[in-house]
Amino acid sequence: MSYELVAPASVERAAWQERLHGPQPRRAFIKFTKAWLDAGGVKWCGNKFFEIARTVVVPYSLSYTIPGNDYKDIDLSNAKNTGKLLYPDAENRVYEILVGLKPGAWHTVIYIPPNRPLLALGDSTMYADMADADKRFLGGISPEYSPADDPVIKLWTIKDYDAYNTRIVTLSGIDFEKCTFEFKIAKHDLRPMDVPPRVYTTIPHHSEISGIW
Amino acid sequence: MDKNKRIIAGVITLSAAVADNDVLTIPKRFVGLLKGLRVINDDVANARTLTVKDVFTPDASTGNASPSSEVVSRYKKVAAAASDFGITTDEGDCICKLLGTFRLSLDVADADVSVAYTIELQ
Repeated sequence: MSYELVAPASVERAAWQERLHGPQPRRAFIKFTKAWLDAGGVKWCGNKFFEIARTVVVPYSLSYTIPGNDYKDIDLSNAKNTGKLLYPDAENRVYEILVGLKPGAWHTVIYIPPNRPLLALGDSTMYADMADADKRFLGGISPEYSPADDPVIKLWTIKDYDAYNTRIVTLSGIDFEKCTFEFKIAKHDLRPMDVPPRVYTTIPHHSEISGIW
Repeated sequence: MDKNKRIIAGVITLSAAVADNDVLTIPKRFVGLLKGLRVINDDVANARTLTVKDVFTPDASTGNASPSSEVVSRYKKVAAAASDFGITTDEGDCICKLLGTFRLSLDVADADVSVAYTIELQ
């Protein structure tokens, strides 16, 4: 899915211990939901099953020093000049990204597309609001929640998918903070399947998760 | 000591020409936790004081789209009497957090002063 809290076998199997002498990797399958069919530019995967044919995990980090009581938006997409290029550049490929935060007086709020918080509540006013002392933390992910050495936040990206924005928000009472994301990016090559597998991971479109409900 | 910790330790003899001594720059993806600082003053006539500073240029943010270089004092002055030394912390304590360049500023440039330091990268 676009946001979940557990690392799947496809990431765990890349641990170096298992590559040396562990059990053989299991076959892994994913399915993109029907909502992807309605999304512009990403119809190739909508309502289809794929086998993960190959996985390579690439560590990466992004770090920013910003003043206290301030915020900064980071575009993770492949948008020219502004994006951080964490999306695949071809179809039949998906990046599964675990997002960890290094310790510090900050948290992050995820948006997709850039003006829409991924995490919100039912009332029409209940989304992250930087001008509101309480809602500034609504949907916020702190370093304690998803630490760099044990991340629990996962994002899926495919070519031409809407841009994920991570908003870095620093706390008041500090002069500056260095805010560092640690990414573990699992690159998956996908093989389309004609026959649905019995067990698979479902990847919903962000429109099925975000919004006010 | 935790074997997984990244530790930088060293000794620097301060400059005779300038009061500001840039020791090292913390790598981009880390903050530096200054864990130990020992000032050795071999000047037989003068006491010296030291200030730990942090020098960096912040990234552009919503509040400041065009930031300029910052010099932030991170720790109180450390006194070292003539022909004496001063130690700032017990092992395990953290003196301060460094984001950019670790700078030691002496009250007066003096090459008879040297400083031993220990920094943990986090």
